[in-house]
Amino acid sequence: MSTVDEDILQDFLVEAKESIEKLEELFVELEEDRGNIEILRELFRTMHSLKGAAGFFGFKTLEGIAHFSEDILSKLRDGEIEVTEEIIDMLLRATDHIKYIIATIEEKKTEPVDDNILEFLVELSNFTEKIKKGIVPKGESEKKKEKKEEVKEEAKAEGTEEKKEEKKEGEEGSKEEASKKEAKEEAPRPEVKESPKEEKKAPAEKTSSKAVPTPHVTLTETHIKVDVRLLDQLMNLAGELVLARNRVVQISQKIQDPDLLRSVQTLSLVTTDLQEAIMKTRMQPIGIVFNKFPRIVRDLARALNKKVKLFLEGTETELDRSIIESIKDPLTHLVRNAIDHGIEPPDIRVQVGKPPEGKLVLRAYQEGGQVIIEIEDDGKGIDIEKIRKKAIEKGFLTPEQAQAASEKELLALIFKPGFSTADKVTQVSGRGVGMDVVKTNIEKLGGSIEINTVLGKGTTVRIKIPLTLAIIPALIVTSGNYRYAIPQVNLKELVSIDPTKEILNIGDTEFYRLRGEIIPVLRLSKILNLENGEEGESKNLVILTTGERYIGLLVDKIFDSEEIVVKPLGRWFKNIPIYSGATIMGDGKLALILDVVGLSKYIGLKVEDIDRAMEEEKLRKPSAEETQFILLFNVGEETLALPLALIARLDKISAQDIQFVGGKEVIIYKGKVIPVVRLENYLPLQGLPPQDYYSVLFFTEKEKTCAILCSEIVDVIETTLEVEEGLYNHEAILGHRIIKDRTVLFIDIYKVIEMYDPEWFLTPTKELEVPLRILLAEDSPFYRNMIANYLVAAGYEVETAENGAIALEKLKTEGHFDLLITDLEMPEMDGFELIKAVRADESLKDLPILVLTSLRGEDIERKVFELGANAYEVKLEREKVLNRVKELIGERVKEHAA
Amino acid sequence: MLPNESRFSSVEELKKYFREKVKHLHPDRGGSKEEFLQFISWYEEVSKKLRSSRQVEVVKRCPLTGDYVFSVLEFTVEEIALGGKKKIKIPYEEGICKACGGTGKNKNGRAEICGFCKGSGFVEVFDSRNEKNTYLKCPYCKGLGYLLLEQCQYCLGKGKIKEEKEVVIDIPVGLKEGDILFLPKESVGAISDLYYEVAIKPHPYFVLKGSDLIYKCKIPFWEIMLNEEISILTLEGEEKVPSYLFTRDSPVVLKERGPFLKDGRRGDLLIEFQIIVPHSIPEKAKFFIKKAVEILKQERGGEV
Repeated sequence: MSTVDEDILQDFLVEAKESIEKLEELFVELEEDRGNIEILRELFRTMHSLKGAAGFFGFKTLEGIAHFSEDILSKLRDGEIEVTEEIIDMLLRATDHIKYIIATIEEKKTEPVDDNILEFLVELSNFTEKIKKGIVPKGESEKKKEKKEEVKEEAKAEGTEEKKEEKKEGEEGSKEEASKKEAKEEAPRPEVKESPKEEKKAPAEKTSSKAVPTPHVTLTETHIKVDVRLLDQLMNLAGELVLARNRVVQISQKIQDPDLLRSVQTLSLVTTDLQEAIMKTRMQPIGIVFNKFPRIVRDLARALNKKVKLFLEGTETELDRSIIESIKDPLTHLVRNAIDHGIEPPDIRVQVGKPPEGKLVLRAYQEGGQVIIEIEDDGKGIDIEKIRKKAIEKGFLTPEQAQAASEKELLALIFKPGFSTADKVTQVSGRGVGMDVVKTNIEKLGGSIEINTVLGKGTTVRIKIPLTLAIIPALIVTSGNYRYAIPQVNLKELVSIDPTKEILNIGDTEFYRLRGEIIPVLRLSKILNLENGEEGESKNLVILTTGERYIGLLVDKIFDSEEIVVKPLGRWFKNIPIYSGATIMGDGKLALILDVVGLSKYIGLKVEDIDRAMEEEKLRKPSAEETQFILLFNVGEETLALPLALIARLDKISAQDIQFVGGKEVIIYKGKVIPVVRLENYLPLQGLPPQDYYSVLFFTEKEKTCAILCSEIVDVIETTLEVEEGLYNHEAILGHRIIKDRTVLFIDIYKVIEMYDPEWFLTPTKELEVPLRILLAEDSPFYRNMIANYLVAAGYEVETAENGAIALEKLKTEGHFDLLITDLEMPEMDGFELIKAVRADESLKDLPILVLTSLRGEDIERKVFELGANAYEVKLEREKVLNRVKELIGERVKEHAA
Repeated sequence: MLPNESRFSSVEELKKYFREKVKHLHPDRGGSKEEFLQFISWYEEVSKKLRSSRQVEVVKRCPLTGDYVFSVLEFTVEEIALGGKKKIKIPYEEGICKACGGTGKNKNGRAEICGFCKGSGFVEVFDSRNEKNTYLKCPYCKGLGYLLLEQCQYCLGKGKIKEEKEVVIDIPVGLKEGDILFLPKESVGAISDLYYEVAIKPHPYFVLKGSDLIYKCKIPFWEIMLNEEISILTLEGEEKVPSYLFTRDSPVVLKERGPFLKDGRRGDLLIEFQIIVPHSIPEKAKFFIKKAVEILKQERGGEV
């Protein structure tokens, strides 16, 4: 039985002991009330389950004894035979043997190898045979009767308690009993070993009876059953203790008495341990729920003619009992969904190159204070386009909204009531109820749910739930002198901001830009209608997550994070969505717990709307506002600028590191020799005065790197690339602009590098007799010049146009072009319009179009491809752009040849 | 070095490896004696393990502890009846997804400049001890300067991928539909325990019933009358049995030709036959049949 886990064996033993106790009690009851069919049924059931368990573990003797006893009991139950003394006697002896076997198993993990037991088994089997044939052996029965009477007398004398323990042969006198009691008090185990030996002697004395003696055993209790309510009560008390502890801790810190501090520390530790221990009593492995799934999955797969391989991982992850209960239904629903909608029928799977058997993984693991449950399938995934269509059909979104909606938004629709993408309603799912219920249920548990899908490859649903609901870590914040607790689970990060400057307004909503991501901001004081001293006072932005999105919450002060005990709100406050409960703080005052999901709903913040507003904002943003991160740096007194994305690394080096080798300045950086480029050699600059340290910009392209030397790095700013032209007529200067009261030169790094090393960008391409002509439509002079420069350098003939209208004009009048490169955001006629117009023109409809943009986003990408563009690249990625151009024109040339 | 034993799915595979390897290692061919002996003992150990460990347990219900995989395994009637070996694919250890190198992101997918380090891949922090600026790798994009937005198609963003390997198991005899095969993970080198519910693939002629195998067939009446032998299908293949067997009641019992049972005995093969009598018999045929009946009657003194 080495393969079977120790744990199950333990479980089995506990169960077996309970069964034995039950059997003993029931037999006593049966003796008094022989006709009671209920007792017989109960006896049968108990014996039956014992037999089943024994069989599972392969305890053959135990199974045998239980089997014959069960046989007899079934006959009794069905009324085929009468309950008689000797039958009960035989069954009781069987029970005693079972007890002995269990005790041995507990000790040695194997069944006892004992002739006595085998003899008894034979006896029992003969007895059963006889009963079956309807012959209750006369002679023996008489003998037994006598014996039984003796037992009865003794039993009466000894009282019921002894009777339970000792329904044995009378011969076993008081000596035996005394030793037994002793053993029970001192060490119950050795007795188990002794008793069978002792009893071996017994039969020799009473040879008249061929009955095998019954071993005497007492079983030690390792588990007891406790009322769940008691555990709940304990948990509540532990919660109260935590509160009291918090209070004492605070007081002790005020008093600062060393003795008090020490004892409080101990109290604190013990309280934490106690709380953890009590929490453990309520913990159950999630396997309890998971183990129901093999059957559900199997039945469902069979009903739907699908093949599913079910993987269960992390079944021992523990969760609070109450959570386990409530997670069952949502999980079942998700599993059903995965099989019904996710996993394809075997023949279709084979067609798309998957194994015929689908894979379904149920996984649970702990992460932080949360348990994460994943339901993962390798089925067909969720078709975003289908959701989009359905959303319009069912009126969840207008067609315009649907077009603008992002993947995340559309997936969120699945959780809306009444939304279903299934084409046909099966008995399993597709009726549009369910996912919303799943979400509500999980949110009720303080958890969150998210969907992750790859079309054609599979879907993963991830559920996050707290370990326990009673005591949670929370961040304490204040607003207008009131304290509030925010569950740590919802907390993403804390940012200190200047609200007057850093908060942006879009429409009526406030936003904060966190590392390029735009997050809606709520002011706690506004939501609560609190008087707030001064507007600019709240400087702490708490970034919260609802699982799908982030929200910034502006609060006055942030305190410590603390373990709080969640108290439910009274019924008067139940319906306020922004609170999920209350807690008592260390100083005895109350703090309300904020519900993050409710918070976002309370002020009517529909994040889908905001997201959409953002997307539209992005789309509409005119070209002048197309922003880029610009690196400002000084060379001597002069300030230069270039897009940060073009620079691979920044670093500082010491002047001593610059070596002059073979007529070239080089530095050794990360084990490589890198040539140094001084900008003043190529640009009309005053020059770089000697310094102890230099800042270095590393430029890497075509697997070559060079280091550009500058005095210092001034700043990185996010700004547009608007520049003024004309003042400087140097080919490596794209233009100038005033930034922070200084004239800044925007340089063309590609040109500089080309001047430094004319062969840097050369690619061995076959020279075409007729150079390929490209029309570049781009309104920003910075980009226009830069892109045109590197295209020309790559050997193309480039025409430029400032907007779509001019580009179209040129396309129509200035002869043949091989490629159109266009920006999207342009005045007069934007890129979208231009593509449309080109595709509508009969003579131009085959012209390849490359869209170059600084806007990123699948929506835009999708849109330009829908309109008929051939490719899509981002402006600053020179090498990618060139490759793409080559690819497009290459294709074109081939077409011509064909 | 000696390879990991879990590399081999079957004894045959191991033997093949052994033969290859022994060519170089044998002292007669210039190998070192010690190394050779070491190899031999390794081989014996592994082959013993392979032979003993592929034992499959049949359980009534799953004990269901720890991590496990549950699936349905289809057997043909012949496999159930005769036992033997079966190749199955089992989940092997989780490896790093090769497509994304463990990042979980699609390398060629859309990307975005990292907003935290503004594309440079590092952030400048002021080191107050040395009173100067130092540069740290950007924690947000891990120094890449950009963020990949698309998930890896192969591992679905997990960065890891489950691999499978083939093993050969011994099919226990006496399996029933709905039995559960239990393969402890140690025995096959899988990542978790495996449970396979036994499903029996429907067979055109054979049906398992209890401890017997039923073979269903239709035989035209004239074959019984005219042929000495009739060919039937058994577990061992096509076979000829005397045709007089079919003159009695169905089924014909072939003792101990059915499935092998747990206790080492063999069940019976029951041939459930149906005699085909054509629907409409042409007049001419009727005439000859009548003739035949008359002859039979004459010969047996009026009785058939």
